[in-house]
Order: sequence, then structure tokens, then C-alpha cells
Amino acid sequence: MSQKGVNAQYRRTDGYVYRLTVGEHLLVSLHARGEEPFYALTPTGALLWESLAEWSTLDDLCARLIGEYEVTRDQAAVDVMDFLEQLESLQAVESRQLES
Amino acid sequence: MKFGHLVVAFRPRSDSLRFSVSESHWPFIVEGLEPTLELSCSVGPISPRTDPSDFSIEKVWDIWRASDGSEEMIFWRGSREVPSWRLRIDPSFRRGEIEQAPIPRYGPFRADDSPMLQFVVVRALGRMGTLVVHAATAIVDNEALVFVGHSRAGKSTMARIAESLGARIPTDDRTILNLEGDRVFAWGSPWYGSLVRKTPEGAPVRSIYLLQQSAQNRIETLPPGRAIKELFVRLVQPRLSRAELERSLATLEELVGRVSVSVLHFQPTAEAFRLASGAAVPITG
Repeated sequence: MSQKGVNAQYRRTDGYVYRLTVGEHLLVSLHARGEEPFYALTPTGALLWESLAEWSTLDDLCARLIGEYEVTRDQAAVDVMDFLEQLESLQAVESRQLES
Repeated sequence: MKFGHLVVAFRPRSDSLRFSVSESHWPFIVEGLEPTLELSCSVGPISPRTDPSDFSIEKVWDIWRASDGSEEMIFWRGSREVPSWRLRIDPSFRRGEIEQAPIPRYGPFRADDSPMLQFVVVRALGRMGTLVVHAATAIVDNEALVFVGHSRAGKSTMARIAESLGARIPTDDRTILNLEGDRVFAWGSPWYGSLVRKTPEGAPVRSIYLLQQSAQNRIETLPPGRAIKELFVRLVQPRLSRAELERSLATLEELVGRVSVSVLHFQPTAEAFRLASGAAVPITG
């Protein structure tokens, strides 16, 4: 993942629509033709997706998880980075480097 | 022309403009109805835009979106060097202007030209919360059985079988679906398959089946979540706009709560259609 880490911020792109459909958290791709349009999110993923409406740091996203779930900071960081990498592979998230 | 509940009015921008509509669209011509979408039509040279479009299907069309939500679209014929249509449409999708390039052999304004008309209609229907799905429809006892499938799934085959057993077939390729009260209605469209069935007739939907050719005839009920996904990927509507996509999903969520959606594993026989038309209770779950 480019520019990832504590000095980066992340934000979701406009290429997907989130929808809670029949109890399932779905990301649906806009524009794409001939590709699988649906991606399922876990409730944790849905929470992070909501947070990614605004530019968020790794710390921001971990804090959101820790505030909602009984999870250690280290585990939250692993989960967040895994999630961001998956979103990046779908071009569903963009990142920018913070000035140090 | 009327498609489901959508009424598209084609207005000439000049008195000299004449329209042509192919025979396949004649049943859809109506007069005296309040239009849902009015298109001001003209024929003239189209200057291609050179700025990058917001979305493009290579060699077919480009879309530019303005900040007010209005859209400009150019359809290409043959290659991207030759624009054939320019459509400008307001943010509400209620009014638009459409220009046809003066291609001599076509003469008058071709109101039914493909893919222009189909694109306009499916987008406008989508704005109304109405779906257009790759499906044949058979009307039996004034209720519709909708057979959904991609190309070569067996839509026209099932329509042919249904017709031989007395069903009416408003379409064998593209069905319009909308919600009315607590029911779902299916309507024919001018866009047909190999059986060439195309009438504007509609009826309340009894059941929706996804066609799956198989060695054995049986019905497999789909849970709502899977039904939504299976129907969504068979929509004709392009996924161009967040609002339209969310509306399509919302309609599908409502739809699966009102009618059963099942997979029809079938052999192309009359027994398969009888199973579909008579099966009040799924055979397998």
C-alpha cells in the first residue's frame, strides 16, 4: 500500500455505493461493466467505511474500532490496515501523506 | 412513446422536422398523455467536445456532467470520429434536447434509434424507481411470469414454449418492472429477442424466475439477499449515478418482499413452463 502508515490519511473514493441490504453490508461499484459489482463488508468494515467519508488517519480509524468493539490497539491496527489494503485493491480508498 | 409508465414526448424544434419510427416501436406510440420526459429534437451538425468526459463506453458514448447535475452525452457511430447524436438533459431528467447528425440515408429524425432511445428510456425509468431487466415475460390468467437471464439463458425459448401453451408474450428480451401499491407489475418493451415479441402490455407479476438450463426441471427458491444480487446484475440500467443505483437497489429490496424470486432449473419443454406457471409452492428450497 502506498503512503500507508501513521503519517497518512485515507478517504473513500466515489466509485462505490454502500447499502445495508437485507441485513448485509454491501459495497456496490459504480460505472464498472462486466465485473462483479458486489462486495460484502463485515460490520467492522461498515463502521470503518462510514469513518472514511472524511480524511482519516490510522489512529482515527483504530480509535473508532476501539470505541465500538473490545479490541486491543495492536489488533485494531492490524484489522484497519488489512481493510485499507483490500479497499485500495478495489480502488475504493485514496490516501495522502501528512506533512511531518 | 410509452414504456411502462414513462411517457417520452418528441417535439420538433422546427416545423420542417419529420420523425421516423420503425415498425417495432409502433405499438409504443401514444398520443394525448402527459409526458414524463420531453425531448426537443433537431437535425444538424454535431461538434464533438474535446474536453475529457466524466464517463465513457469506448466507441459507443461519452457523458459529461455539469455541476448543476445536468448531463451532455454524445453517441458515436462506427468510430469515435463520427458523432451521431447529442443529448442534453436537465438534472431532473424531465426535459432534454437531442440532436441527430445529418446522415443523408436516414432522412428524418429517427426517434427510435439504438442505443440512444434505449439509453434515455432506461435512465428515465430508473429515475422513477422502475427497473429494466434482461427478461422475457409471459402473461397467463392476467398475471405475469418473468423469466430472467443474460443472453442465451433461454428467455426466447421459454417465451416460445409459453406462447405455444396459450400465454401472451409482451417481450422476449427486456422487461420493465415497477411497484404499484403492494404489487409488482411487468411490462413489455420494444427491445426483443429471437422470438421478436414486443408489445406494451403489462400485468401484475406472479413470480420471477432466473433461468438455469439443467438436466431436470425444478424450482429453487432464492433468499432475498441473493435474489437482489442476481436481479441486479441482470438489470439493463447502467450504473452511472449514485442516486440511480441506490434507487434500483431500493426497488429490488421492495420487489423481493412482494413476489417470489426463484431459480428455474429447466429443460426447454412444456413441463418446465407448467412447473413455473403452476408451482404455488416451491419444489425445493
